[in-house]
Amino acid sequence: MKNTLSRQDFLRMLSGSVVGAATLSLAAACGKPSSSGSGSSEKIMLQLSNDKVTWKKWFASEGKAAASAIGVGWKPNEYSDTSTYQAAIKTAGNTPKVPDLFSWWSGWLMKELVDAGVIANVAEVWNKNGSAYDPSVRKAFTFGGKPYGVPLYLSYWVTFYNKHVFKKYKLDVPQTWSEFEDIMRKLRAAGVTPFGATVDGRWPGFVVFQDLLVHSDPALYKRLMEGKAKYTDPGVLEVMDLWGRLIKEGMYFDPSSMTIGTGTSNFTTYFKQGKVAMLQWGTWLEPQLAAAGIKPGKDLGAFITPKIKPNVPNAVIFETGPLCVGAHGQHLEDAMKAIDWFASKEGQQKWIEITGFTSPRSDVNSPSPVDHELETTIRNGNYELVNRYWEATPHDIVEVAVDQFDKFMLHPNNPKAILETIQHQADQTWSQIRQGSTG
Amino acid sequence: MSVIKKPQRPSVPGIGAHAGDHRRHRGRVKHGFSYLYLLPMVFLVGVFLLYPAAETIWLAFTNANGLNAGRFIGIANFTNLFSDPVFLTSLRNTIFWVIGTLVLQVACGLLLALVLSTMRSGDFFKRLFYLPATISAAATGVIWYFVFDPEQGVLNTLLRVAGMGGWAQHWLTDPPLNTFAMIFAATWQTLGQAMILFLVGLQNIPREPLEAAQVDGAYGFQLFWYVTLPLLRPMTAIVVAISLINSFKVFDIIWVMTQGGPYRSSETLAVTMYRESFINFNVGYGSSVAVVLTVIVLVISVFYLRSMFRRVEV
Repeated sequence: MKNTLSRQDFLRMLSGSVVGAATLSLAAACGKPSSSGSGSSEKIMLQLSNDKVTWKKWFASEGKAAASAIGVGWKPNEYSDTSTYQAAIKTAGNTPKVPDLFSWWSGWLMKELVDAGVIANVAEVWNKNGSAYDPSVRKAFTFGGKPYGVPLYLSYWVTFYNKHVFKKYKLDVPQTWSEFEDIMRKLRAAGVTPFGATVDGRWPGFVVFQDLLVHSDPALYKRLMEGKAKYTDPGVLEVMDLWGRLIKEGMYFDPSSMTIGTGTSNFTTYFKQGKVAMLQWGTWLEPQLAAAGIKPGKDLGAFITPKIKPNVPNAVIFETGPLCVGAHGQHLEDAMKAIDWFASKEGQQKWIEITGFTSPRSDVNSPSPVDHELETTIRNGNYELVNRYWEATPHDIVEVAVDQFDKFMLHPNNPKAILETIQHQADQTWSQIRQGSTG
Repeated sequence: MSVIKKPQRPSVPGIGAHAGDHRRHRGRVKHGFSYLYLLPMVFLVGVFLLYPAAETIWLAFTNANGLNAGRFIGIANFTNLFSDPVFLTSLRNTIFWVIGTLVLQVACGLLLALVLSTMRSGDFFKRLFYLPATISAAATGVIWYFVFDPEQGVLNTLLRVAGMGGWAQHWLTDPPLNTFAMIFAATWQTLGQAMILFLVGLQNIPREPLEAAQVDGAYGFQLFWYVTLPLLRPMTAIVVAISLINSFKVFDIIWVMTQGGPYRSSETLAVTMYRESFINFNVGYGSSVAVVLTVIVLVISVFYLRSMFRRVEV
């Protein structure tokens, strides 16, 4: 018997392995939803794709709860890289390989998938549950009069403050813009940087811009997002001048020295240490802060940025991302059942319990006292919910704008040039959209 | 010594001729069969290299956005490239990387090899300098990201402790300093590889020409410039070619350290290609960057290698 491997034998084995592996892959690709249990109690487990790696356990728990309640649940399939995830969904979107359920972004990023026929219409789900949701939330997922997703989460973009720092310097939650600037000056004089700021990851560039513009002139913000106003308009330039002045007065932490979450120079650490007193961010930051021992209500408070111009209506920025059903998915009917349960009071109650998020349903209370207080303020003050910059305007403009705003945060000298560069992109994008070649 | 005679061809037609034809036929069949072994590799290269390359060239002439195949728009992507400030910054940074890599990696690699080849404790330092080459570019990026952190980074902290706080910089956020900082980090990682290649080249230089030159009175820099360096040319050609190609396609260390930012100020062509194709989903535009990058690398590599090897042959 030969005990040595000849080159021919090796190549034969190798090609056999390649063919075998390919056959197995093909067989595996012809997917079926997995099932658990046996006989009549068999539960269908769908695939829920997402790019939210840290939510894996939450998705799994909610999927199990859905399976127990209606017999159709899901298992998460997460991508660690957002770009890879977007590419995967776009590539598989119009094929049966599209995931049964998947997370996405609202606004213009969603519109391109809707236009390409990737996402299923979920009007029936909204007909059943719609009255419990704010109409602005539904609008974020609605195109051509039809809704294409249910809210996976809802966040308000507000100003968080360190309660201990405010107490130490005898500061109260500001009611007017001048009170707000007064707080900034007092903190600065005490050696505390009023706001955290970062250019880490590019995208946070728009955060302060949207906050200042929405609280200066919400109507102008909305017109700007829809291409009905220009970045070079006096109202926008005024906001940039204000932002530039605050940067030059040292009201923001050096944005090149701070990150959202990585390293030691991050939001959480500096906020906890009291090096920065306030953070202007989405309420989805709360679980990260809570994990670092900053308890909502005890250590952490939040308020909506006061109006810069007193005569404008109340507005608050919100962010919501949809849970979508793949229109070409292999288990469309089951996916519709699953998403219907997720949007129901029972499904949302469970989801909010698991995640600690703000509830998009008016009949489900948020567990965080901070969120609860914000919801009360929004409801009692008749605040209009305005969609976040990232989702509210076409993404070609957003991509250029975040880089320009980052540049402004680092070099706040020439706001006009920054706005002209963004407007140049906006002109191109809106012209293409009006001609029907994109968007 | 035995002499192997070549088999004689039969001079007349007959049974021998048939046997020859048969052998040739069998040879052809055997020869043809052996090509089958190439099939897996041909398949892999075809599917994962040639087809995507051809597809990329086609996409460069379309306005594909990742969701649809796009429509043919001629050379619009290419003409737009040269009026796009982001592309021009990216091109400038790529040139910085090429020059920086050539100057630092090749020159310092050669210098280190020359010094260490004559040192008694050279082996220890060879290992020490080669050590960074064993870690990935991504890990290198993470290490240097923390070194260059403006607030708590090692570099600025040391400068402040040494009373040179005025020299502390925003190493990764001020262009073009951020590109130079990353070139330095990349050099730290790849210097050892260049050094080892030069050490191999130095060891393979025949002793006779060196000794002859020394007899003729050449020494020091003269000996190095007129004798050692020309004899090292084949290895220099390889090190320069590797450095050139690596600097053109540099991506990972930039992605880890700055993601091409802030405000796209530290992108190179490879990063711009990725961002346009897979983040902005301007797949057609991103493909045109890929085509330009490939053409530049191909032209420079072919011309450089041809000229180097022509000189070596002479």
